[in-house]
Amino acid sequence: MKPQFKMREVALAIAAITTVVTLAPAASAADKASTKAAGTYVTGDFHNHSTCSDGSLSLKKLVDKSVNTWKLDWFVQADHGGRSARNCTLAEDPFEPVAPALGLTNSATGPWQASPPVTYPGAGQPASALKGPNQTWESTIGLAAIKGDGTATPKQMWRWQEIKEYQYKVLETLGRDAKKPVWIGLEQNNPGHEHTSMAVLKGQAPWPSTAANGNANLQAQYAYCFDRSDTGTSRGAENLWDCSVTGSSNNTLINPLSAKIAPTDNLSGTNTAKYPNMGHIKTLEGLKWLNEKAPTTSYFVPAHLERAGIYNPTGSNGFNIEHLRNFNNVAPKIAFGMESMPGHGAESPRGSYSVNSVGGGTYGGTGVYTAKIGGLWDGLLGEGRNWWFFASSDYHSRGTFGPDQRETDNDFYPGEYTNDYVMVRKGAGNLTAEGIIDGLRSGNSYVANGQLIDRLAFVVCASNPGLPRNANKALIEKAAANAVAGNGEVRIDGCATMGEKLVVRPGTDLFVTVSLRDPQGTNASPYSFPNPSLKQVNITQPLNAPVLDHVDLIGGNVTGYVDPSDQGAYAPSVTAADYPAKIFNPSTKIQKTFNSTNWTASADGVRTMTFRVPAVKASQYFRLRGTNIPASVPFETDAEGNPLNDFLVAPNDQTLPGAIPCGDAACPAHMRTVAGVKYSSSDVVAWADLWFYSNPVYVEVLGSSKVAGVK
Amino acid sequence: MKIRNTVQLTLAAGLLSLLTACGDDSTTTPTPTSTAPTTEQVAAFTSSYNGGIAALKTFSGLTSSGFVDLFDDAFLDAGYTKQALKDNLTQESFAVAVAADLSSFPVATISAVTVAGCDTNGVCTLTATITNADVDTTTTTYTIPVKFSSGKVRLYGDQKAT
Repeated sequence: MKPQFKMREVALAIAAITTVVTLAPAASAADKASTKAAGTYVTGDFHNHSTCSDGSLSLKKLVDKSVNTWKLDWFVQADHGGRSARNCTLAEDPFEPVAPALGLTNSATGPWQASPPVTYPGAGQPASALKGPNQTWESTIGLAAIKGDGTATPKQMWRWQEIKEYQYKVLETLGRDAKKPVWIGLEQNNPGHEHTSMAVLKGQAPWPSTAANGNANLQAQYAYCFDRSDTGTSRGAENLWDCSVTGSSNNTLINPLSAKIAPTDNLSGTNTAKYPNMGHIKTLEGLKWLNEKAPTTSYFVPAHLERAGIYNPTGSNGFNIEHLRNFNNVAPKIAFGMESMPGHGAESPRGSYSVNSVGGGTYGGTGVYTAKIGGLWDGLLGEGRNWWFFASSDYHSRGTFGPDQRETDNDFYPGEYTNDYVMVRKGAGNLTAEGIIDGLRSGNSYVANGQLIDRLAFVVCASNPGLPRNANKALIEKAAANAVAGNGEVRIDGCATMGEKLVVRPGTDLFVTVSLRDPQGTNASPYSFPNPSLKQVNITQPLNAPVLDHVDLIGGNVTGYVDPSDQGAYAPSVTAADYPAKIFNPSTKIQKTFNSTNWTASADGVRTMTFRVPAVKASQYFRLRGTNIPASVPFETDAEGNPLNDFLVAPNDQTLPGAIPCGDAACPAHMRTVAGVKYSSSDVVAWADLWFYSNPVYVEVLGSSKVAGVK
Repeated sequence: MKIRNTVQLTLAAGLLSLLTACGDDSTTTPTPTSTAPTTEQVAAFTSSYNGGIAALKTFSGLTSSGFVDLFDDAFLDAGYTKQALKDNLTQESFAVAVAADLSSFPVATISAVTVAGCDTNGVCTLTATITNADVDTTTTTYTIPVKFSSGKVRLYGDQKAT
């Protein structure tokens, strides 16, 4: 057996799949107010690590930091697949010495510090080798209890066993103690690609459930069957798992020994020179498996998808547009977005995006697929897909700092810097994991770094032809401001919000209204010295008190799904050199920039603004981005306000000078210093350059292209 | 479906022309006045306007000449003319008829209406509270020029071209 999957064959296979898989509208209801139960935007994070893979903390400390210190409303613990030696269910040794703090204190002002975190330092100190969660499975539960194949010393436990027998129950207990939904997922090492944040909730019973029989059996099985790093052949020992998908023609690729797509000479089942594109096929099989096992209680969100470069048919690198199309076509209710704003925000290079990443670095902390106007994300939105934008913290460690210190030169804690705000329509009930996944799937969400904004109402409304224009505008702006005040959404017939579409006749006037809150006071940054990026343009603004400078309303046309059989359009040939210039939707542009000259401001930080679109003719979408950085700030933004490559500000070679001096006496000691000059780097770079991104609102015009991904 | 919609909208546009022509016959030539309308006259306008707005969810409401008559012939509001109003209403009526999934538009009622500050041309300022109560009640105030003539209040608009 030597299967050769060329991309054309893969695309044609997808074409066949799409004839049988219903392209069911995967997003939530459109603009009928009565269909929208009351809800609020809640914050959470679905991509962070413990010592059960390559993280540095126990499950206990990671969850505590996330839901208690940084007050996330929900949390998903997601280690890498594969296997590992350390037992993350053990807590840190409280008798370990704490690394010396640098004298930084918390601000007691501002909405983010209403209850100042108290763990600087606090209980559960950093664990050194062979202490706390760095102890091995073999030393703590014994060699005989570690299942499956493997000969390493100490013996490593497969991730499926960690999930099924150890991690799940610990997380269930921690969530119930905190009275917040906490569940377990996986940062999948994708066959054929780099990574994906995913989870199978089915079977799990996180708070508010009190069920005694909760389990993560399906999540564990998925890790065994579809993770590239799970090269085991045990079929989950006594579980005797079978990884086939009912009716799939690719079941013929399954190795009878391991019962998964893993040829004897390619146990990871990934792309190799001998098996080009096999990994991508296996990843698609995983999605089909999720469709079969947990169609409404799972998700699959490719992570930091620019980081590993463009797709390589003989390696495990990144994702091109056709792969995302394939995922969304195969499982539109499960593969509905991407993490194009990576974690590792304090690392050099920012986001861990080196020159080898697609685009050669992040742009204002965001990957080029999203940061580039008209880029890959706009290409997918231009098809009318339900393909949403997410972010994560991807927490591993504080780098050279201890876990209870305020500074970091590697990662931010979940909720400390990056927040996904997701609408959950729970009414008067408790927040549930199911409701949160529904919210993620709906696209009614936005992302903000550094608490740049913490409330957003974003609607597109059809104009009532019988109302004067100023009455239309006043009504919608008031509704948006009310929504912001209540951390909710606009619920008015004829208004669609993020993840929804408005269906209108040609000639309809539209009102695009935004109301948001720039929280007053200080954010979670420990630094109060002037923002070094803004200092370049003579703006003196404390690093922990950012001010929203402007908001860009970005829009582009929708022209419908690209047919997989149209190979040139569906899977266009790309090389690394095509980025960052590569355009997928040439119609996309900044439609309007709002700032203090044309928005209405109130003392509590709420900013409200409206853009009128007269006599709409074609189907289109609108999305938002905003930042604390004005246009034309050296090394940060171009003349149009687009973010510039962060790699140039702080390359990973620490012997090279940075681009932006950090000359204030309070600039911390860990800043990159070359020839006696301190440069803005690591966490200071991140706190200096803040952005938010919204998901889109679609407008479908009768007689124009359908927005097929949204009902 | 795309072709069908195009045909339907073309038909709608044709019918719109006919309806617009019919509607023009009802246009009156108001006589300006410098006095403010009475409370009863303002109430009559408010009642007619609220009834007309509420009826815009229906075909008959969208094609009502009575509602159009609540707008002065010289109505101009951010570039929106009385003719544009008629066109929009008629196009909307046919879109409603052919597209089941067509979105609505925000509806509202006005209350606490006052009309004051009339000039010699009968142009006055209407101040009102506008309310939408689809699910979460939204209430705010706005003002707009109206014209008072022949004993009737009609919307006049801001008279701006954009």
